[in-house]
Amino acid sequence: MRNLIEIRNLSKVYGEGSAAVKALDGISLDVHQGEMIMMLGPSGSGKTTLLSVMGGILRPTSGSVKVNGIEISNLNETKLPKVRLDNIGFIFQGFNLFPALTTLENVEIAIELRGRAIPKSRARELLEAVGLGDKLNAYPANLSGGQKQRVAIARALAGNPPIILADEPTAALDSTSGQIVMDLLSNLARQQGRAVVIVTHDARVLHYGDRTVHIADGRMTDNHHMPEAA
Amino acid sequence: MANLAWKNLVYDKVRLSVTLTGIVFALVLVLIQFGLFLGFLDTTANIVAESGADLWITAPGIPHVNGATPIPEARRYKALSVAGVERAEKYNIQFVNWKLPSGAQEAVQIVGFDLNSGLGGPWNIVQGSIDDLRGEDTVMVDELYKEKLGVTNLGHVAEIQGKRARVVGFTRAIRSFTTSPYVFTSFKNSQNYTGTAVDEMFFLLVKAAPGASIAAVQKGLKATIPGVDVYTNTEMQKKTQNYWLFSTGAGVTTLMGAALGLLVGMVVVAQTIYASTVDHIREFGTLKAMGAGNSYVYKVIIQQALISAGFGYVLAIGVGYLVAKGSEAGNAAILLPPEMAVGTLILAGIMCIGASVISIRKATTIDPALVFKG
Repeated sequence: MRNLIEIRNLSKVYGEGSAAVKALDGISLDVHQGEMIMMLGPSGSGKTTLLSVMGGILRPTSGSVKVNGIEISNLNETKLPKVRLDNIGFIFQGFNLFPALTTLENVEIAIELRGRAIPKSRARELLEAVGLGDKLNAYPANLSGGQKQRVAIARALAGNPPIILADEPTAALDSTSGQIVMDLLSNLARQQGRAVVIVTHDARVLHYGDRTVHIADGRMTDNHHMPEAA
Repeated sequence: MANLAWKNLVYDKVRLSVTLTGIVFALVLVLIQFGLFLGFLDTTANIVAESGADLWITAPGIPHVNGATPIPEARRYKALSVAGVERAEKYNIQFVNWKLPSGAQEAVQIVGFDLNSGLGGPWNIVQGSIDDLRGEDTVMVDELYKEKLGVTNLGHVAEIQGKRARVVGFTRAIRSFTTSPYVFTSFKNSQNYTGTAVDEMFFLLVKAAPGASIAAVQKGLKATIPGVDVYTNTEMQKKTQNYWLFSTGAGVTTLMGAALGLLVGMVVVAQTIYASTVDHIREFGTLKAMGAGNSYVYKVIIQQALISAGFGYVLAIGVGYLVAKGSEAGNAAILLPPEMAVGTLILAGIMCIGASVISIRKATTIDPALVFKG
């Protein structure tokens, strides 16, 4: 399987001098096409920082990060958005939907960012695919947590990105909704061949992963394949 | 994109109300402060601006139009001999006392003008006419000062400097910058009221012949008449305005008020737009994470600012117009000319865009803690 994310000897330091805090320290990690990685670790261990660096939101202090073959660690701010646009779909713990837009418009805006490359009708298709075909004109405030996260998944898929980065996608959901969301994410890896990285504290969903990566104090303390995938 | 900017704004109506309240407050403040300033400038020199004269001949070195000293009548004949002079009419503006029905005295400014040419005469006449001033001891006052002068109706008889004065007409909104209202009368009557010598006047108002160059006539008058100053109408306006503006506390206060209004308005708009942008900061961070470039985020923010500015402007102009209308009956004029309305629209746009630009940096830098954590 092709590596979609390649991280080598990655470090991230916040602050300078005596106030410097090492958030990531010497991380090396590959994420393959069609693989689903569960990233674990206590609060403050550096999981979200690692996810941010993978997604080109944070610049590393040292080391190399390749996304779909593109070295992004030294890419300037004018080029990074294009890398994100073409390669990465984000899913957030708090959904981060635009409250003023309908479900359909929330997905359409992600398509609009890509110009005319993708027809807007894809938004409807994606929402139907996540089981929200009957909620196209609903506003986020009128959706359940699980439904909001499914909208967020549809939005993340708008540009058909090869990589999905999800930060605690089930943290705000009940177990049934969490299972629906994880089934969708699992399908993205298994059936669609995307690389899916999930930061989670939720022990109920660990079995979905192909591999677990443990982070503690900014270091990768464990990286092993699950005995059998869900 | 316009959809996102528009929907972001109208989605939270309370937040939109707060934003619009801030912008309307700021723009009304600017409108009223500048309206007062323009009203101040207009009031100080309205008697000059509306005189219809092309040139003013005065005693040398007078500070402003309300502070003239007499010049000999013989200057008029010299003026009439200058090429390009069509008319040169005698004109008086002089402080005198008006006796109130209570017996108290009120200072007024007698304006004596030539009834045939009308140069320097009243405007906005709402009752009576210039011809009514041909009668002996007849005067015209402004409606604004009826109460101040104890005038109740046409035909009211008062005393000026102990001499009879009968009110035969009213004007509207001819304010005096000094606390002394203008009282219009014929030049002949004004001599009687002011006690000036029959062969003296305070000004000569010159009307140039059609096609004559005002500058050339001014030059000719200066060369021909000794011991006088000759000002164009614009020069006399500026001289008077500058005197009251820079030599009196009232002028400096009004000027400072306008400047302060602009400053406070800009700060309020900046804070309002900044707060509105920061309220949506997580959404802008999400947009960036989704792959939106800075230019896309800039456009959404600036569109939000312009939409806010547009709505705020419409409301502010409405309020400003009502305030200006209400001021017509008061002593302090607030002027809202079309140029100022256009200027305020441009100002509103600049202020809102400027304020949004201040907040743009915050919106185009993604804070992972803000985006990732709910």
